[in-house]
Amino acid sequence: MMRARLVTSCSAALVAVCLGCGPTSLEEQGAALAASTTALSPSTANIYACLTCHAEAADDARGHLFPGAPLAGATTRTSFWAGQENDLLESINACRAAFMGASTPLEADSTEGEALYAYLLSLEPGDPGPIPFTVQRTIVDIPRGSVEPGRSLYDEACAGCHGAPHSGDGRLSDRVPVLPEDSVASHLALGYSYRLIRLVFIEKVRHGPFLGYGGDMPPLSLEVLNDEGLGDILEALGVTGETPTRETP
Amino acid sequence: MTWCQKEDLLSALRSPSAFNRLALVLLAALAAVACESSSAADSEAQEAFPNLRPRFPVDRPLGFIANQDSDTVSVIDLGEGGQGGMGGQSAAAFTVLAQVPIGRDPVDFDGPRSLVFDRARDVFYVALTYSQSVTSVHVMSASARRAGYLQVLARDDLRPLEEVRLQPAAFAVALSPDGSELAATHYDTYLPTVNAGDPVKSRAVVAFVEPDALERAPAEVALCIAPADIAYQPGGAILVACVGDDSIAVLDGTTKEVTATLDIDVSAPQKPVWLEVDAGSGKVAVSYEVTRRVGVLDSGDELTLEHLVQLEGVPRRPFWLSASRLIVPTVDPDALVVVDLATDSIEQALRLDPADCRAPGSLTELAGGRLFLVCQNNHFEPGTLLELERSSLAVLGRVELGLFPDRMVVDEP
Repeated sequence: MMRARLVTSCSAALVAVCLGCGPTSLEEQGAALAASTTALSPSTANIYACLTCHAEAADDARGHLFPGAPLAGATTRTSFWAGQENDLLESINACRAAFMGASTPLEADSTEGEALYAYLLSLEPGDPGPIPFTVQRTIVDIPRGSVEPGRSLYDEACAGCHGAPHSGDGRLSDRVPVLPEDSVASHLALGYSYRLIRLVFIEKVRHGPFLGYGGDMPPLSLEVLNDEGLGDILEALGVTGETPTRETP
Repeated sequence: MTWCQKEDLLSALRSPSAFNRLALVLLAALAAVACESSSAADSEAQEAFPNLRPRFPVDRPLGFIANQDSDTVSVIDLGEGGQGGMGGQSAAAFTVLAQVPIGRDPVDFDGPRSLVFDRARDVFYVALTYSQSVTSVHVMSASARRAGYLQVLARDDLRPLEEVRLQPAAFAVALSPDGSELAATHYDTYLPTVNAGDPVKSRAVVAFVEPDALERAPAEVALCIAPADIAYQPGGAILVACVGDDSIAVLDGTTKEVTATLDIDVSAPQKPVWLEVDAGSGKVAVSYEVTRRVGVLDSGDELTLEHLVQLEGVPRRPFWLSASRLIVPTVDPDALVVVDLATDSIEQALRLDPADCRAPGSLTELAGGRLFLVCQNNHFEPGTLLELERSSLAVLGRVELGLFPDRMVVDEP
């Protein structure tokens, strides 16, 4: 009996040893980093994790319009950000700087760097080719869309961060504006017309923090959300560009 | 069975035989040791974030050209020369190896220009200018004015190594002859706009940076209004084209004090933009864009105008073909003009075929005398690189570059 217990105890100990060995633990550390909103940026204002904006694999993205490319394939990819980066770590650091408020680059040989890379490696194989990412630089108004498809697209593209329309229920943080009310109100206060506010919505979606806009919302490329889809979302939100008529009592 | 997989181990350990259990325990112990060493070997073998950038050869002449509106550097294998030819003849004797993305920002235009090669350190320097204005309906964008940067790039793959922050509107970079100093101008047209009537506040700085101490903030000299091109003379004096002052300024290489200035015609704007120093004589050729003239200045004790030649087109960066001859690319019309300084006359004016070249910008010569011309085109269609036959200036070959390419820098083995 004693012997059996000893064998069982030894067995359990060895299982524990083997479970902790090898690349698994590093991968798990990396997976935890990718899911964390605090581990990859010292900024207290950061609300994003890698997995807020990226699916692990292309198949995982069903039902969501992620602004970023699937993570699987990243370790073999040599072109990122529409060809404006040719190095994975530089691309990650561009992400961290633009959206997560991290001004110090992540180093490849740091504990975090090694763990994150092990995690990304564990997601392979993915698509090694460049992922199209067209940023519409010139902002013009787009055709009006339809409410019903717009509601569905809002859930896929916007709700993950902004929560439910009009209430913000489930949004990432209190500082994420409730759509459309918060954004409309802040721009009305600055003297914007409803026509210009519609353009601001379009610009924010297309440029994110880039091209002079500021903030930390990731842009949605034309490949992720085309103009027709954006027109539908704006219609669902009631951001039509028209000044609302006063309701009669 | 893979002993590192917990399911396999757990299944074996559930076996009812005590002997089996004991044997498996031993095997598991061995596996644990093997796992540990294999894991260590794996982590050693698999470098995190390996550098997958293409490496560029060092055994042949390469040309490097910053494309200001593509945020890239075109890397050109300049080949051996001698063959090539246009008009249905053989292909160019040089090829584009890569268009390498550079810059700090993955979306905005970094506007890289003024690439400089530092052979001693085996690096390039490039100015990130952020020169494109942004049109936006959003209130924050109206005042967006970004600092420039001087970046250091590795010669072998153009990966960024270091950087130093400059003022907005960074423009041209020059490396001192002894390699101890970099100078950068700021073609800042905003300052004279907001400080109209105040020439002192309207001045932009020339920044001086030590390549081996980039962590230090640049030393800045508020020199003149909208300084554009900059060049070191062989003796270390610094020449600056002060566009807003309409003059050329000479700075002492040590004190950075202005020792001479020259406005060749105070009665009318000239717009001196581009400078090219003749390494042999130290004389400087200057392009005056408004008056469409090219001048040659001598900076002895004073700055003196030695030659001034009227051209048909707007002159871009002059090129010293010899101590007495210049080739000046011009736009409107797109042409190459050979200027004979012995007679102050135009020896040859060659109109360029728009299929080959639009907006010729600058020439570069290889050690063996091969001559290349960068054509900038507009800001929306790719520029081109031509190889020219040295005496006739006939086009020998042509490759496409990125948007709005700057002058070519050459690394020859």
